[in-house]
Order: sequence, then C-alpha cells, then structure tokens
Amino acid sequence: MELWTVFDRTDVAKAKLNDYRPIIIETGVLSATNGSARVRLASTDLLIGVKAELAVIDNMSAYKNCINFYVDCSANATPLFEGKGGQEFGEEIASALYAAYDNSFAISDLSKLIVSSMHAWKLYVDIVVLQCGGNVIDAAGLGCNYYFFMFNIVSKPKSIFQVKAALFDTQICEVITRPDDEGKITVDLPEDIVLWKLDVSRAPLFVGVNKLGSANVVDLSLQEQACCRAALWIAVSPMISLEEQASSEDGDYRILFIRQCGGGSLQSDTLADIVSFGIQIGMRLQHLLARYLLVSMEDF
Amino acid sequence: MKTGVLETQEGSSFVELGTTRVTAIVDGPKQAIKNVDVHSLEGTVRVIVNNGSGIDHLLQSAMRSLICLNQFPKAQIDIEITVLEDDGGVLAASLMAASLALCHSGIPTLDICLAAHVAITTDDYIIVDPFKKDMTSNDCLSVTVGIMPSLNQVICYQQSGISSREQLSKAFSTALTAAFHLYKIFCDALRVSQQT
Repeated sequence: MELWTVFDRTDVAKAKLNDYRPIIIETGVLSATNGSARVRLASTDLLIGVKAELAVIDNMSAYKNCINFYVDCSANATPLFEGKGGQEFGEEIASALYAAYDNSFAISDLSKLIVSSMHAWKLYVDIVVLQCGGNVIDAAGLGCNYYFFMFNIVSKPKSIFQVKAALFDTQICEVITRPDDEGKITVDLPEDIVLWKLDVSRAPLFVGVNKLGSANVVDLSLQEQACCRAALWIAVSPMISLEEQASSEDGDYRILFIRQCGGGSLQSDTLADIVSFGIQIGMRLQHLLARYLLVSMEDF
Repeated sequence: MKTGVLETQEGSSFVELGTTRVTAIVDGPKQAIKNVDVHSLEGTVRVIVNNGSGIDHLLQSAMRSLICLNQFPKAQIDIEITVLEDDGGVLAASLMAASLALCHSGIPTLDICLAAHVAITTDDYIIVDPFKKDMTSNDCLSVTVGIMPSLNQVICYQQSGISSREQLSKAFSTALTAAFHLYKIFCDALRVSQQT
C-alpha cells in the first residue's frame, strides 16, 4: 500500500497502474497547414502540424526521408527548456518518431507521394510542446512520455497543397508525351480539384511504460516520473483496418519501435513483461483512437 | 578491442566489429560546465558522438546506469565517441567502446557493458551482427541490446523495423547470447591494458 502514496491521481482509490489520465484530441486546429491536431493528456499539451511540400528529387531511387519530424520544446512548457535546453529532448523524440515511421508498413500510401520521376511530396511534421504535465519539479529527464500521432491531411477543403498530391498522378501521361524537352518534366495544376487522404490505419501509437519498484506503470505525471528511472518506449501498429480497430481491441499487430531510455537498467526477464504490457495498452489506445477518427470523419 | 590507444588520454579505447570501427575517449570526472540551479547529488554524463547520428541519447541513458554516479556529486563525465567506419552495429560498438574507456580511466562502474546487434530479414533469417548491405530495407527487424552481464540487466535496448512478438523475443534472446560471448574478449582487452 505504500506504493499508492507516490501517485498523483485525483481519485487514488480507483486509479490503476494501466490507466491513462483524460485525453483530449482536436483536429483541424491550424488552418494554414495541410493537417493539424492538438493533443492534451491531462496537463500535457502538444500541437502538431503537417505540411506537404513538392520537392524536386535528383535521385529518385535513393529517395528517403519523405516524412520529416521536428519537435519544438517550447520554453512555455517548462523553464528547463529555456534556450537550448529542450533541444536534446526534442531530437530524441524526433528520432524515435522517425524510426517508427521509416518503413513501408506504417504509412502504406508512401508510394503515392511520388508524383513523377523528378517530383515527390515531402511531409514535414512539426510538434510543439506547449505544456509539460503536472508540477514542474524535475523535468530534466522526460517531460512527455506519450506521443499520439495522427495524419489528417484533409483538414480544410480549400487548402491548395494537397490538391497536387492527388492530381499529379494524372500528370504522368503528359510526361510521356514530352520526352524531348531536355529530359525535364514540368508539373501543372489541373482545373478540377480532388482531395485525397493518407491511409492512417496502420500508423503506430507510442506507449511509455515505466518501472516503479516492481510495478509497470503507464502515463506518469511529473511527480511519479521523478521516482522512476527506467522507461521503455513501445510503438505498436495494428494490421487491421480502421473499422475493425474501432469494433474490437484485439487484433493482429506489429511492433515498429522499442527504445529504452531514462538512465535506469532493466532485468532481462522483466523486459519481456514490460513489452507485453505495453503492447496491450497500445492496442487499447489504437482502438479508442480509431473510434474517434471514424466519428470525426463522419462529421467531416 | 584495445585500450589506451591515445597516450595523452587516460581513458581511451578502440573497438572493431568487422569493418565497423569506433573509438571512445573519457574525460573526467571534472567540474560541471553547465550552470544547474538544482543541487544534484549525482554526477552527470555527457555523450558526444562524431560521425554518428541519433545514438547519443541511447548512449547517455546506458552510461547513466552503468557508472556509479552517486560517487561524483556535482561532477561531470564526458564520453566522446568517434565512428571511424560504419558497417552496421555502430550502437553496439559504441557501447562497448565507452565501457572499455571507462574501465581504462579508472572510473568505478557497476559492471562492464556488452552489446550485440541482431537483425531478422524479411524472409525470417536471423543474422548476428549484420553488415550494412544485409540490411536491405528499413522493414527488417533490427535489435541492439546492451547488457551488464554479471547483474543480468539490460541498460540499452533499441528495436526498429517491422516485427511480430515472436520475432522480437527470438531476436532478443539471440542478441543476449551473442553479447555474452563477447565477455572473454572484453576481459582479455582489460587484462592486456593492465599488463602494459
């Protein structure tokens, strides 16, 4: 029972180790982006914007980095992020997100982003940390353990950038008819505008599991985080479609990323327990997020 | 593995895994440069990686659990890793190079650090310490494990690529076994440095 005195929960008697604090997700909060979302996890606040740019690629076969991540740890979140203080932390989160998305499984429509042999869409994902959760006691380690990521390219129908993504597939015919133009290809915008969305049914969700004594804990506040050392970030991705995710929590999954951080060590036996614990929580989060996405898609 | 590769530096090491070559230099313990308002009862570890991308956070997290930081209040230990050649498994080589350099400099650590890199290709073959050309795409599973062998604890764990649960546990146990095999080589490198 001494374990409960550590937790900073409003209702301590009913709190569980695998419970999350309330999560609020808004989409379409920034009108100037191709897609945007705001995620609030109790007192942790994140603002995410996605921009799509048409880039000229010299070597298409070696083309990588079609999704770029940047995390801006704003000094508004915590005084420890003042100046360059949050830069290392932001790079750590960005590299984790990049490693989780850098495969053909997470976003299956990545080949759609290649418009021609010279042009391809490049997605820039910017994340701003507006607030680090809880009392700012010692946020030097990890301020934000959970990163909910959601592509919602179509947030405003009058946005002009995503129009090109869908329409430049039809421009390939014109490319063939002009082979003698010094080997270069020009891109035009047709008059009829059609929008399209990326398939986000297999985008991963991150779960941060921490070891506190002999217990596995998710969703730590800052006070609880000061008592933990070892943490494991797990990115879980379901293999089923969005409708099937919304109907049930169970389903086949793939693990896209795992990283140990925080400066503590873990027994090799308990590592497998933590991984299975994180997968179970991750699939439940995918289930809840899929239900929300379907509801918001109907509203749109 | 070799220690004392730089004569002017008291903690330095060189690790070669096939054609992957990494050197490590330990500087410290010394007075902390960064002006921290909070009085820290433990020392801090700073890791600088040259020619490597994205592994300094993992190394810093691993070294924080490896070094007895409570013996160095208000002090700072700098570890500089230089990747001379990269043919896969840079994180594993860097972990062992840093641990070897710490032992050579005489900084007390809980244990040594052994690391292994294991990949599972898309056609379900397990490769221990794969070359860079074996990693044909980003989709194949790649697991790097850093352990403290006597304490049987994992201090660094990173997995990327698409994997199922069974593949992950298989790769993890294979990486643990491969890391334990390096124990003798590590201790021999330390004994050679003691004799000179």
